[in-house]
Amino acid sequence: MKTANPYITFLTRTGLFALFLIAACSSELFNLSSSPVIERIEASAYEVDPGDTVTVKVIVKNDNDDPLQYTWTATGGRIIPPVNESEIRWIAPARGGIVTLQVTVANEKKSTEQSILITVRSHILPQVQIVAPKTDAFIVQNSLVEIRAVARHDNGIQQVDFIVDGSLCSRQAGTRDDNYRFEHRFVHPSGPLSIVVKATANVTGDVGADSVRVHVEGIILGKPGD
Amino acid sequence: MRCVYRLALCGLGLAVFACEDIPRDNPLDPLNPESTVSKRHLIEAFVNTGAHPSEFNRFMLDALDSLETMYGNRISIVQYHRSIGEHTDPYHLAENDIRYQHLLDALQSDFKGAPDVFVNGIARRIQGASSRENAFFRLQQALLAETANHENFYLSVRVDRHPGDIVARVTVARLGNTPAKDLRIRAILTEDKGLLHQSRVVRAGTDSEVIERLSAGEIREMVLPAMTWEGSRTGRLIVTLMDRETICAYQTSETVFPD
Repeated sequence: MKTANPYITFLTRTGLFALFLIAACSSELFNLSSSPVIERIEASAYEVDPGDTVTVKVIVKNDNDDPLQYTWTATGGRIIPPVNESEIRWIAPARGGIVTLQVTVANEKKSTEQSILITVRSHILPQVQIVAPKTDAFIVQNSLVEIRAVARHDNGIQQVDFIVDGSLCSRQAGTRDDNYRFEHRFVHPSGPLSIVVKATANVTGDVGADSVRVHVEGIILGKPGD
Repeated sequence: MRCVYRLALCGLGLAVFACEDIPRDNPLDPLNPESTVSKRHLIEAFVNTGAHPSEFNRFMLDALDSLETMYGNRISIVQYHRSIGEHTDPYHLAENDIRYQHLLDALQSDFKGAPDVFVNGIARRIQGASSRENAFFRLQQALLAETANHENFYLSVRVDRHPGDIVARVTVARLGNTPAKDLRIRAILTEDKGLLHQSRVVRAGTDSEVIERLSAGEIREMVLPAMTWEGSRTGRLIVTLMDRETICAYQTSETVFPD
């Protein structure tokens, strides 16, 4: 039976020990696993009214029990001091919309950040304006006319309805640019007629509207060749 | 005697120098660079007054009557009657359809129907009517929007009547200090049928040759092609100075006959 070479055995054992030491030291030296880990951010409410106070808390995984620093920022409203705790209180702004609350958690070496969105309800009715046609415009019977409107709301627009002469003619989903248009053929009796554009807000469901009165000018239609 | 001659010579010299200083400010002088004349607006109404005239056409024709009363000799109205589908019109002329299509082509519009009114060619269009008041308001707005109430063209017409036809003799002058080019004169004969809404029914029309150039201050006499006309009827001869495509009217004149 052949015995192991003691020299090789010694080198192997020494090498393994050195590798173990290097691994241990590199972990300490480069600090690879010591960044704080944000598990989640919890808020007492995610949809609030203007001026409401919301408690927001960050839950961090901190196995090493490192001392942590918290920094909170908000795109709207106000954070009640102290702002460097894991739990803060935030007051919603007077104007509706979506507010981003962001927290940065740092230990001595590294930091990490995360954010949540909180919707602030706006109880102001959606702003709606019919851009065209203008009120008291004359529209030739059977002609194709574009109705254009602008609708805005701090919570965004859920849908816009075009109502001509009391009938819903088009329902459109909210857009990012606030502009809405609809081509309508005015096959209506000659005389005055109303155009109403209604916008429904996101979140609150509040409805705003604008209307214009136009005149449909009667015509005997010709066919091609007539 | 010698003294008298001297005085006469001095007077003549003074008169000559004084004449040189007389400014050409007579507004009717074609050589006056500032001369203009009032613009008479042409209103071409395409209507249908069939056996059962639609109220839309009636509204428009009522409004045109009111407009004529209000604007008098500042406008000339002609009515082109058109048959539309089953709505036949006794005064329909094939030429009326051609003129209508010509204006629509110029506007790149295929939306046909009556009433359809054009002011100064295709400068303004008023289509449809819902009431006499609305139609009048729209016509008046169109006239108000035609800001050029003065024009650098003088235009007059007189009628030469022959058995069976009528000839328009036109005088056109270019006022101001710039020439004009690519013009055409359009003559329209309307008949007064003596009935409501039928006092300006178009019965014939003709166009002149193209006037390639009209120099500043130039006065030109023109004779237009003869138009068929029965002797006893009363009507009006409207002439209008237009661009060569006859889609923009610059100046209009008219005469009633028999006088």
